[in-house]
Amino acid sequence: MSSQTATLREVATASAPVAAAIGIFGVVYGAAAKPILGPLATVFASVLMFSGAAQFTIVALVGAGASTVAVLGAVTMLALRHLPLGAVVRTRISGPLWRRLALASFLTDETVGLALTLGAPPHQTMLVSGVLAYSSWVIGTLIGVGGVSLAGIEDLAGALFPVLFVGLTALTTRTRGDVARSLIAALGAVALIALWPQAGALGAVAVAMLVAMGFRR
Amino acid sequence: MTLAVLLLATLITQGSRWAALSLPTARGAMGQVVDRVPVPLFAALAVVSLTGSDGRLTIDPPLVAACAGALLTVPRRSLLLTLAAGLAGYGAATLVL
Repeated sequence: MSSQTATLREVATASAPVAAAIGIFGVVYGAAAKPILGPLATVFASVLMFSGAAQFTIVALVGAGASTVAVLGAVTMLALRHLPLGAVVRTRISGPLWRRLALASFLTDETVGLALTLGAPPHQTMLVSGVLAYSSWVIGTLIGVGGVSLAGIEDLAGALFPVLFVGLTALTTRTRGDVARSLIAALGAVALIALWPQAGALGAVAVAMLVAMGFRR
Repeated sequence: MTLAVLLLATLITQGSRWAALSLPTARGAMGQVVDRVPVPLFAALAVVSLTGSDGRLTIDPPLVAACAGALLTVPRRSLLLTLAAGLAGYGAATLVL
């Protein structure tokens, strides 16, 4: 799968379990958001935003009665991680601006990871995995808004993400320096979470940037 | 209020994505740093994805078994194999415990 000859079918096969997990979280989001945002706004957010982290945060904060400034501040903090993620994938995606802007809506942790590691051209991988993930997210939201509960499967879906990132780490590790950077970043993330439990994905990006800047071998 | 907040949140989220892919390609020293980012990024995201809703690390046996299964396949460098091993580890732990 890591050769340069991966086909779109192989990309779709590798993306399918990830999309399935995202779909399950879409159901959870739809069920959780409906009583707080209302059914229309819940679906509207998934169709336009396509960001589980941001959407779950909005539901939690709106449900807790937070101010508009607090909600938008939290969304902005989460959105900041797109800049380094985009910088990483940007070096591998060429072509006209319109194509990059069309792909931008599919810029997520998971699609970037797949684009960097599967053998197909990164823009094709982002498109295929992005369409699958987006479709699953929106369909899952609709199912959740419709009243379906997936208690039990939620834990299984949650287990897929660390497994996915372990696999992506393995695929991108090529040198002893990479091994060292992965271990240091993992330990750094553990330390950061211990100090600041709400660091989340933005904290992971910050740790990765620091490790990439500090350990050059 | 909610619809207006959602619209602004959408603009922020999608705007950050558009900005990220509109920027020029990083070159020179910054380009080298960017090239080194994926490995530590995925390792850190693996740790972050182990946190619960309170943000703290979750020590859930099936989750630990899933990660252990995934780690066993690391030398093979196959994403599908890693996903399968992770799910197998999760399933085995769920059945046993």
